[in-house]
Amino acid sequence: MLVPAARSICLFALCACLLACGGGESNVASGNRLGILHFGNGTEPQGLDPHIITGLPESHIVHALFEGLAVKNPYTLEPEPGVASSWDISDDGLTIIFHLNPEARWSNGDRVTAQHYVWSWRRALHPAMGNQYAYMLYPLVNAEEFATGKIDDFSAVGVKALDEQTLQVKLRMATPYFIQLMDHYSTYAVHPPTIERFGAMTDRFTRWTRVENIVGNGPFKLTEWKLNRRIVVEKSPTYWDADKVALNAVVFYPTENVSSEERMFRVGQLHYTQTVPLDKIPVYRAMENSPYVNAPYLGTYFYLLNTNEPPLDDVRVRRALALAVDRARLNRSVLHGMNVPAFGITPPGTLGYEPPQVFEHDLERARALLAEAGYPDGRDWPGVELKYNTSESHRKVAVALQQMWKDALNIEVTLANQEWKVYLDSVDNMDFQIARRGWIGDYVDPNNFLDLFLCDGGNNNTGFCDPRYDELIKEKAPRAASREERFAIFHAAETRLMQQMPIIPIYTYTSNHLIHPSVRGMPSNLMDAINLKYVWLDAGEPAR
Amino acid sequence: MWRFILFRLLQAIPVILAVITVTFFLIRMAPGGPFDGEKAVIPEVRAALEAQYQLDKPLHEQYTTYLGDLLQGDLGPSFKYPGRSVNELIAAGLPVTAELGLYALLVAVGIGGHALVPARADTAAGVRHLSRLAPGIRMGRHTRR
Repeated sequence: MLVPAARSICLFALCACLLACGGGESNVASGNRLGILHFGNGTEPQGLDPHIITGLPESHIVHALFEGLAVKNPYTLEPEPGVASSWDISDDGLTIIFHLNPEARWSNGDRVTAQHYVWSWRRALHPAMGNQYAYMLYPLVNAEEFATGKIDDFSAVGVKALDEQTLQVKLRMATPYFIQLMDHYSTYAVHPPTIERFGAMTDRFTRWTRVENIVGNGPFKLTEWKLNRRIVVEKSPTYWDADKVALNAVVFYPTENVSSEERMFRVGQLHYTQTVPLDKIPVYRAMENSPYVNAPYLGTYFYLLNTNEPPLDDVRVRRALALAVDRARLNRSVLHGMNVPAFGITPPGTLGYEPPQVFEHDLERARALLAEAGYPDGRDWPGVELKYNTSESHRKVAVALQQMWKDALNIEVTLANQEWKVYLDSVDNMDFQIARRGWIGDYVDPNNFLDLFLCDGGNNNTGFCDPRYDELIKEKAPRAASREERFAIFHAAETRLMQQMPIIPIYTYTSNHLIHPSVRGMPSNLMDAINLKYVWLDAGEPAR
Repeated sequence: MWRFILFRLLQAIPVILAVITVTFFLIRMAPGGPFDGEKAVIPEVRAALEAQYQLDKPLHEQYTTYLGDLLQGDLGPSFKYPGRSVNELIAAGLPVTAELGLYALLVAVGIGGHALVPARADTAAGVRHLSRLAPGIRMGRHTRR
């Protein structure tokens, strides 16, 4: 009896395997042949409305479907023409005239006009829209007043269509990074007739972004959206620079599970992965011609210190904690050497800006500072709590720092993890002593990190307030005559910040991807920005 | 038999109602809100979002609206995917879940069924143990309870 039973089980298992492992050409092989990029996109996008979305997976798709007045060059991150073929900035930096490309078209063939921008920016800023990125347009005269409901009249806001192809922008103060913001989706134009066909201007619940309805102006158009399966965009024939677009289509996959994403890459289902599982990094590092790409990213991982509460109200205690952290060791052991130790809030190399290093790992000095503050060798230390949102990697970092502080300063720091929303609530209400924080820049400029710690900064969350710091960031930097002068002011401000240490910088994030060798035109950059217009597939590269 | 089933179904109504009520209020009592993120949301934006999702209404009104919609089979708008309804999300996911469930069932019945015959014949101890691990048999046990 046993033998036939075992045989039938084996037979059944074999059939199941054969059914599961369908053969044929891999996505990468067929993609290389047909010019289709298979892109691991992390998660299912929350939506595709440029004035609603807030996340990275959404931005990848929206960047394919829409285009801003200016776009980022993926090699230099400097702005280059998009919908606007050129722009003039007045000497005082307060007026910008965008000259729209007469060839710029919506995917239904309509021309993209300056009036569309005025309409779209009104939508983006409208208080009823609830656009979380409305502040991207705050450099405009009266934009903040309109967005916060202090004025109702949009004509008072600093944007005006001089004619179909000329858009005039008036700024509150000179904003050297304003052109860069034109590549952020919240400043994109949307097609007014399409939005109005499916609902009110500020309605969030309309169907205008569905495949059959959406009208965009980017290098690609949406052709398929299968929830939690895939999103397909195809080259748009109406795009003004279509000759430059090499890809015929891009397929975005919601690869939420990083291990499955890595497996998909290994079997040739993906050209590009959103990330790499931590435990696989050493394996890929050791590989010859490795598809693993690791590059610094415009984001900083740090701890917030509540400067209102003892013992962290004493700058000596804050500095002692920061000096006692051995960032190099942390990076080597806990973080697999994947990140870059940070000593400031601004990531290094932000368009040429290098943050000051006002301190280093110095145990002697840390102990001395703690003794000066009244806790020699950790005596009378009242205890401090460190909060982080529940995650294995945050826990590992917290445990490592807890041990470093114990070893170096003989002080106890207790750890408390909280569910994401509870943790956000704690941080927002400053109900913590030390809290984990990460900040990813929206545009490449030191200002994007340094303005966090203004006295009234909505994301300050430390109680830090230094009028001189505010003056440097708000008054002096915008009036600088050159980029060098401006960066020198930022340098001085960041030096002040790190001397007072309302935060403990830990590391600069890096981007980590697996990229198939056939993918070209996708250079690493600080913003991890991809301009799909530049990407092409080298069919000569064998698919693995 | 039919009376028993009917009785059980009627019993389910207060249970489901209680579950709906408890989850509704628990979610709203928990710290944080649907629009919290790492970046602070200005009060005006938060107010606009709450108005669009009718979260600015008093709690009892939200509850009755929710119950009313539920009775009509409307699970409301999704907070996570703006512009989509919960019904739509379930409709999109259900065929995938059903397909996966079907395959799992086929494998379970396949292996379980083949293993069951010799196990019942009580000839080979090894296969009998295997049959206990097979999900097909376990399903049988569950339904018996």
